[in-house]
Amino acid sequence: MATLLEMRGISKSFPGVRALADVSITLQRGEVLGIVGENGAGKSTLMKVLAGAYRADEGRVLLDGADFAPRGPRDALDAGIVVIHQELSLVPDQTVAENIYLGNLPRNALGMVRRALLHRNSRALLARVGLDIAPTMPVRRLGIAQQQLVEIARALSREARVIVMDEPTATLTIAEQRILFATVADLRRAGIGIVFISHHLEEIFEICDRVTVMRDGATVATREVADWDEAGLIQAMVNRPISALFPARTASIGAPMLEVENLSSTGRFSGVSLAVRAGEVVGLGGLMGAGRTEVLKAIYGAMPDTTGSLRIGGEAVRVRSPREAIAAGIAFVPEDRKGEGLVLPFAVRSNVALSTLDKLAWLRVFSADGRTDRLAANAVDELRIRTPGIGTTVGSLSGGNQQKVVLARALTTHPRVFLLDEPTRGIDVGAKVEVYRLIGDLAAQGGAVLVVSSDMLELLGLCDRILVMRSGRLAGGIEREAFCQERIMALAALG
Amino acid sequence: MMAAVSETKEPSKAARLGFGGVGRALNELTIVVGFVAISLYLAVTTPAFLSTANILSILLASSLIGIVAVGETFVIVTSGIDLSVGSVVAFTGVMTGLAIHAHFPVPLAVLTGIGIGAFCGAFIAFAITVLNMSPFIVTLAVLAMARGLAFIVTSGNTIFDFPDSFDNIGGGNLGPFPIAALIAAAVFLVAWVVLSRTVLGAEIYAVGGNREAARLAGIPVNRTLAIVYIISGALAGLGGVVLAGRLDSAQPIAAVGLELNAIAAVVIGGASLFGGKGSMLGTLLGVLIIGLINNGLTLKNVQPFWVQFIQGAVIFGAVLIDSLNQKRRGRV
Repeated sequence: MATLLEMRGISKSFPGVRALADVSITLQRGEVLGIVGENGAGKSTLMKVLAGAYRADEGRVLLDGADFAPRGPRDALDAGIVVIHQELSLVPDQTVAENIYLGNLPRNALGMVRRALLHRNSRALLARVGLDIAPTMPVRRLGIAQQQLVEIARALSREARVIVMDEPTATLTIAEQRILFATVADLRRAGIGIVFISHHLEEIFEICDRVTVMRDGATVATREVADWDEAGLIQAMVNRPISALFPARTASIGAPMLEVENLSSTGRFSGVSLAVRAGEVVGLGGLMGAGRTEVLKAIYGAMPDTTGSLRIGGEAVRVRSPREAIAAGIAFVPEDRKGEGLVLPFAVRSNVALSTLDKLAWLRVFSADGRTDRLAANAVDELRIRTPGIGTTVGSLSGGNQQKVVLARALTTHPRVFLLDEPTRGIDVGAKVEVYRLIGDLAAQGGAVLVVSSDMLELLGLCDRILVMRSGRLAGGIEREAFCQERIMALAALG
Repeated sequence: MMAAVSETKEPSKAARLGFGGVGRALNELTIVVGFVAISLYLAVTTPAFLSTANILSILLASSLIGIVAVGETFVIVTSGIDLSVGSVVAFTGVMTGLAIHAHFPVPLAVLTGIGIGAFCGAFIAFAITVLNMSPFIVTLAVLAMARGLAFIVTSGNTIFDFPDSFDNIGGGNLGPFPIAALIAAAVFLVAWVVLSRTVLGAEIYAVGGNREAARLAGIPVNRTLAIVYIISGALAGLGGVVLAGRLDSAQPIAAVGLELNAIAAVVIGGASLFGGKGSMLGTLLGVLIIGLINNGLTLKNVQPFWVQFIQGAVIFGAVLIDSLNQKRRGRV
């Protein structure tokens, strides 16, 4: 393999911040280089330097051994460097072919678009990315993954030599992710160099040849993927040992706190019976679509057409709505933070107070600003929510801090049972650690925690016991002493 | 940590902005500026504008729209809409008139009108919360149904000849002030307290801001929605009483298109049709701005055909501003 791209000693400062300090990476022809790091580690800044959006203060970029100093995004595109962002840049109302050749349509001598050639070339490119659609279809009608593949086809039309994918799988389903990965493998065979940025370490291990870890604007280490393991990678990202990420499991486990008997919901899941004891953290694993979220929502009274019985602290309760669930001592943190967890345009204080509006009020009718402010200020303090103030719009906070606001709101009702759905999805490693610590504290104080997660390491590190779901049923459970990734995967996929 | 999130500590001096979104204060300032600008223009160009009689007539003319717009504000903040209010004003007006002719004492007749309005609201609420129908379609249907009922119960005739004690509600004065305007002012005051100072108000904002998040946070979403539509219906009923009193008659064709004026007032007042945003103070200013525009058009002898067009253009402008604001916040 020959060196395709080399970034050597790149430094970049913004007023008051050193974003990149002496960063070096290399990319071979036909190689997939993974770049991982916490939010703010400098990944995006580095890629913006490469794409010509920022100019480096120091350092050199060599493309095929020649100096390359883009003066703008156009230069980078012309040199065959294409960045595919999380937010796609397609024009929804134009056809697939027009999008592939956007700004680059084939014309004849009179300046008219050569439709036949356009469609023939587009068909060839679509075939290369494994997309079986007509070039005349409007982009609006495609799914996210298909749109991503159209972007890749566009990159190929420009004879891309380097393709940068920034969190490409963040919004994809598993099936779509498979299609994307197959296409990446094809590109690699064609000798294109690919930079792959992701928070999902499983993907890094699956698809990358080498991995560079960035931290605080510097490269920490670069190794062949075979020389990394997941724990080592995280350790390099956060600069502490992996065991330190998770709270020690010291809680004394008591009597059953949450008991679910034969819970079923037509077409979603059936016959789910489980118990979580006081002080216990139980994980609910399984593949996406196995019914894990639905089980949590059903326990919380937020899923229609549910049958089954529920006991909290040994007492039978009927929960027909989230309101009744809260009254019974159950808290729920939804997976979809922005859609279901928060009222984004509202202030932090209003979001924290959302579940206790009547309890905070005078005579249960009139709003009590002082009490609400104290509650919110306390939450910000205790959960270390980084926000300019309790009056700040919650939508302007980072993902991790938004998640802490949802958790804080859930805690205001003094629950004993915690249902947490993907509590650390899409937040950076630092915030994850704080959420883990909080979960440990909840258990230590006698709470019963049932946590759904697709992050295997998280389940293994956090839980006393892991239950695995497969196509709407509980496939089995594993105690902490017997934890083993392979067994969990086997239960989730095969049984 | 479980008990950690409870109130024990003094807060930092934080902004009082919360429900309804940050930036509301700025919004209201813009409306005040618009209000003052229109007033100044009219005061300078038309001498009759500043006379006491004219100002009181603006207040009287604005009171019906104001009462109805209060209910509409509650509804719109939940991201709903109530198109039925104009027809409900007519229907409750004629029902009140029929009650008086049936020798109901005036207070009981008034309560009948308000009660029938509340019942219309309850019907709408049932369709929205239990039958899962969309507010737009339901209230459009009720717009036609209530108007139809108003014609059915009167056989299309106007009902008139009411006792003075009834007519005074809509047309009388207390000191220099029109009683209808005082009623509207009281309605605004109570509504302002409810929306900005009570749990119900906070719940209304939350339901409009993100219904699913509100439901999962334990807010009784359906109850909240039911309350706002019942309030809107009851206030339309009160509007029907006031209008019948002012005209000393109840007509099945009364208040056609009133819903558009009310919605315009709410939107001019800074509420968003996307929900979660709006205030009673804004709506009050919106009502007064519409009153000023109508009054100005009359004083300046603008052809009546133009009046409707200009009102429509004002609504268009207000909704356009709302839509542009949404886009800027990236929520479309």
